[in-house]
Amino acid sequence: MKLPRYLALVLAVVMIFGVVALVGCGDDETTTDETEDTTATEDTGATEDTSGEATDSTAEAAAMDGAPFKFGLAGPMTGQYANYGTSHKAGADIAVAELNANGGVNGGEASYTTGDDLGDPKEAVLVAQKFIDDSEIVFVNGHMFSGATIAAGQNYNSAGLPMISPSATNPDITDLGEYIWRICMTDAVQGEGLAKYSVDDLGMTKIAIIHDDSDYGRGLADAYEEAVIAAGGEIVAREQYTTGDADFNSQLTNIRQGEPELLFMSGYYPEGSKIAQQARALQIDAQFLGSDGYAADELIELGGAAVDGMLLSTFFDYSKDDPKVQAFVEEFKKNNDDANPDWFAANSYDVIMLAAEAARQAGSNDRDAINEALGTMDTYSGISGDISFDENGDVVKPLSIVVVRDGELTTADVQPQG
Amino acid sequence: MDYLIQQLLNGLMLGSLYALIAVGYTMVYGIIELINFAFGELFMFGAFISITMMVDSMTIFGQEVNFPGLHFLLAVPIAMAVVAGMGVAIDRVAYRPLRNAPRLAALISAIGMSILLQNVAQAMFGSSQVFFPDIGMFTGDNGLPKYVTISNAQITYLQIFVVAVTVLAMLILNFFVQRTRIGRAMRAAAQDKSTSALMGVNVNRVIAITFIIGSAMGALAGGMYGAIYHFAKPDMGFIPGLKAFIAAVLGGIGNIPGAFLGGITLGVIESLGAAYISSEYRDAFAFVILILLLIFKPSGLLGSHISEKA
Repeated sequence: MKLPRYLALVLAVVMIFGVVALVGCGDDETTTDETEDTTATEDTGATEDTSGEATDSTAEAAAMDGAPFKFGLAGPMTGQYANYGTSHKAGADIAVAELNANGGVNGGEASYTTGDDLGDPKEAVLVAQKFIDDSEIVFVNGHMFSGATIAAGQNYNSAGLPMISPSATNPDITDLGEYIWRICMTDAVQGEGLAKYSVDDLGMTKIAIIHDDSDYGRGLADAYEEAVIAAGGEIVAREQYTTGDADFNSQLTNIRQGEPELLFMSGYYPEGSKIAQQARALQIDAQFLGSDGYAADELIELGGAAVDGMLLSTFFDYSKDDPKVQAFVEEFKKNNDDANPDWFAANSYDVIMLAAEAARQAGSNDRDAINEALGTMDTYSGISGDISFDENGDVVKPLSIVVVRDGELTTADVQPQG
Repeated sequence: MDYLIQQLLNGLMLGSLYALIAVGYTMVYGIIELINFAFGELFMFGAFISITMMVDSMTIFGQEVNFPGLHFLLAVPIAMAVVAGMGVAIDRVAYRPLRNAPRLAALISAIGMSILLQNVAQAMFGSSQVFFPDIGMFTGDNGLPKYVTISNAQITYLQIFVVAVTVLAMLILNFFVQRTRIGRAMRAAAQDKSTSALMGVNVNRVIAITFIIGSAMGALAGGMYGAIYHFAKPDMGFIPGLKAFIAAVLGGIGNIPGAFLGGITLGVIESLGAAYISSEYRDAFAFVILILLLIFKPSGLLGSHISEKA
């Protein structure tokens, strides 16, 4: 009787420690995995990307013994929004491989640790704490959603860890403090830019708007309407629909009454493709202009002939005639079954390259030095456009317009001027 | 005037689709007094199965599967047959065991079935939109739908086709229920299940036939919906299912011509509401009407026999 009881005790102790050890290791293990992951892509990058200077960069890669250029990659990596995190990570992998192939940053190896915030503000705060406590991390690439970014941003700012969001558009975010930056434009800025484009560059004056009921769709439509009127255009109709609707005939019949020259659509592509089809069926022959939520290959797949010639605002034009962009697109396709990169991947790449440039200018891989250099550096020419910051940490960046032509998104002939 | 005609046409087309789904609700309710919330999902499967029959290959459960690539006019009847089978299976598994249980139990079972089917569809076809191929018959050379102009109002051939199919389906169904032996058995079972069983009516068989017809109508609506809006999606049945339920109540639940009338009425009211009041509250009109109706005429437009029964 004595032995089994003794055994049970030993077993219990072993199990408790086992569990603790497993849980404790869990995080570390994923971290190492991620680092290994990035090193793996790095290798392929080194051999494939820079074939010309392969020997050179290998020599340099071997000599990367400076302070590491390690960053936190924050976004929804699992859960219902995991597709955004996947793009985010795919862009980051390309940037890390490219940096290391060229000798790292200030002689330090580039790498990252992922933090899965599920797109949820509560999780984002936990991720922020993990990154802040890791003294090797010099900046954060993320978070992706506005809610998560606001929640985590407060912590980064008070801890003095610079955070650059690739995609959070809420206007309040950059008010959080001097360590908070973003490289995507707010909805208000996009709306104003598109209004000027419609009236000044395209010369359209009779304009109709259809938008969804999300903060994004409505906010963008508000900014657009205001700026169209300010630019001397006329809003002949404005209609709203509910996200997920499939029938827009009533709204479009109202719009047809106004005889618009241009129909601006603010929302996402699943509805956009149907709006375009139903509008053409109702013989509305206006030029279509869509917000960035419409600029996806799926729009063409779902919309067919009706979206031909549609203009779209985008944060990343993958067809742009720029060697940097084409090198990125090629690398992305190689890693991702020949798919075209979306703007989440492009902005993630740009965030890392921008921070690397800031670190080089500061001459040090240090949180404060990078943050300071971000504020003082000149315009950085990224794949998503020329990036500079205003005094608030918001990006100053031109809009790109693409057009649907022969079933593909290509750079539009008329681009916004100034 | 043109504007009003256009909005009426928009409403008529939308209402036809509601009516087709509403028939399923109304027939099943008429006979077992159960609101089969899974009809929205049967509608969804109708659209998906139509797609699979029309394409050459498609990814299902992550596997590339080959399909026959049939014409729309063949694909939809196949979808109707498959979905009819699903309807019967659902009744057998989820409702028949609860036939004598409190009505709430069956209702919860229906909601569970609806969620289950949606998840199955998500696992099979993925959670994003799937393109519904162009049905070819009514598309012009420029890739856009052909249309006719009625005093400056446009209606596409496809919309006319949908309305015509709906009217035809309703006429056949009405004939079936009013003039055939099985139809008579259905009406008898609807009035009093135990007495009709005593008179030699096989009640379970009659219920199965009801599910077959109701589900097939839902699948027909799904095919038509897909043809018009060019997509299918696992959660596409939720809102049309709710609207169809309202249409069924509006027309007097349990009454087939009532479901048709209710569907058309709802579609027209929605279109006119969006036209003359505000498109922002478009979906709200349907629910406001439901509430007003429940207050002032709970038995619906044509549904006087419900009160007799209760």
